[in-house]
Amino acid sequence: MQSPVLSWGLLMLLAGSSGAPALEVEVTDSEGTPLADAVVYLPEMAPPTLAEAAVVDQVGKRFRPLVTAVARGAAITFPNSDNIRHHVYSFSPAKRFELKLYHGVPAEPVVFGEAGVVTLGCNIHDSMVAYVRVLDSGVYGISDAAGRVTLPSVAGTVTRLRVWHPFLAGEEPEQPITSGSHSVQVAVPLDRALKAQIEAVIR
Amino acid sequence: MIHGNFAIGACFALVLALQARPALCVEVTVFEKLGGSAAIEHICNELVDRMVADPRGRRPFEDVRLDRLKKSLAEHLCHLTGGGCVYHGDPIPVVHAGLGITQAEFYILVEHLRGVLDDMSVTPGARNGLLALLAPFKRDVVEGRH
Repeated sequence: MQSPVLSWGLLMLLAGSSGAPALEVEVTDSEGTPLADAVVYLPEMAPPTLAEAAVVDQVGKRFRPLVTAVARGAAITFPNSDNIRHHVYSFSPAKRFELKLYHGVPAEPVVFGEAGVVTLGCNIHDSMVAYVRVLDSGVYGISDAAGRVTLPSVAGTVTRLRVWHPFLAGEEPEQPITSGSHSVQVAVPLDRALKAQIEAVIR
Repeated sequence: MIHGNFAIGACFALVLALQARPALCVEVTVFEKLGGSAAIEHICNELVDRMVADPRGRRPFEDVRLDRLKKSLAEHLCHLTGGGCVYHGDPIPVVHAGLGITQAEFYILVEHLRGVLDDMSVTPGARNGLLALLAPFKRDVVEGRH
């Protein structure tokens, strides 16, 4: 006999897997090399009504993770896993803020109410750069080291996906999703100079 | 003696009346003895550069934004030496918390500071004045036993 809670969870799992399959996205750069840290989203899907929560941690004088994607209205918490202080800031138009982080002193979450790209830095440490892509969409994912993202099934409801990456050159590539397709490939042109510059900083 | 008391009294009166730096006072600040803002900035730039260039001194400065640190340090030293600056940084113990700075590292900094001051040929009075102002910060900078 299974507990009711477990049965319900199992039911949800089965419902998920037996329904329309998920959309598998494979992101590469323009040379075909798998691209990690790409934000893949469905611009036709509205952001959730309930605000999301996310975490950008400070670990070893680096932000973790490098890229965070959230829907507009999300509250992001900035813990400090280092025992030294940090001073997080953004000059990005989508969200300007600064936040002093002291060891063992939790800081209030920061609400990202406007869609756009927010670049994070630390006033004290050169080595800290990170990005928050605030989306006007409720369905998105970030590519793993193999460049793969799995998005929940939205069969028949959307026609295209879009990709953003911190080192993106130019406009966000858009890829049509044909009805009935379960996998999509998308190539992202990169700004190599910017990539080299940021990677040297966060190494 | 009477003259001296009168001078100090006049100095206080001037400061109170004009809300100004005691530039007209008999007592010269360490800030002025060192050579003012330009000298303080030079000291801070050189000191940080020498620490970072020294394998024994660079550890606490790893990944640190040195331009900002130099400015903040200059502001603090200007404030401390009577230059009339307002220090906008965090309290000194907070700035150094968690960095694990050892007594040895602290003394390497003192060694480099002496070197910078010697190279600038500041007067012994100015040098000792600055070192005396900085000495009490050792307990805020060095972690653990002092």
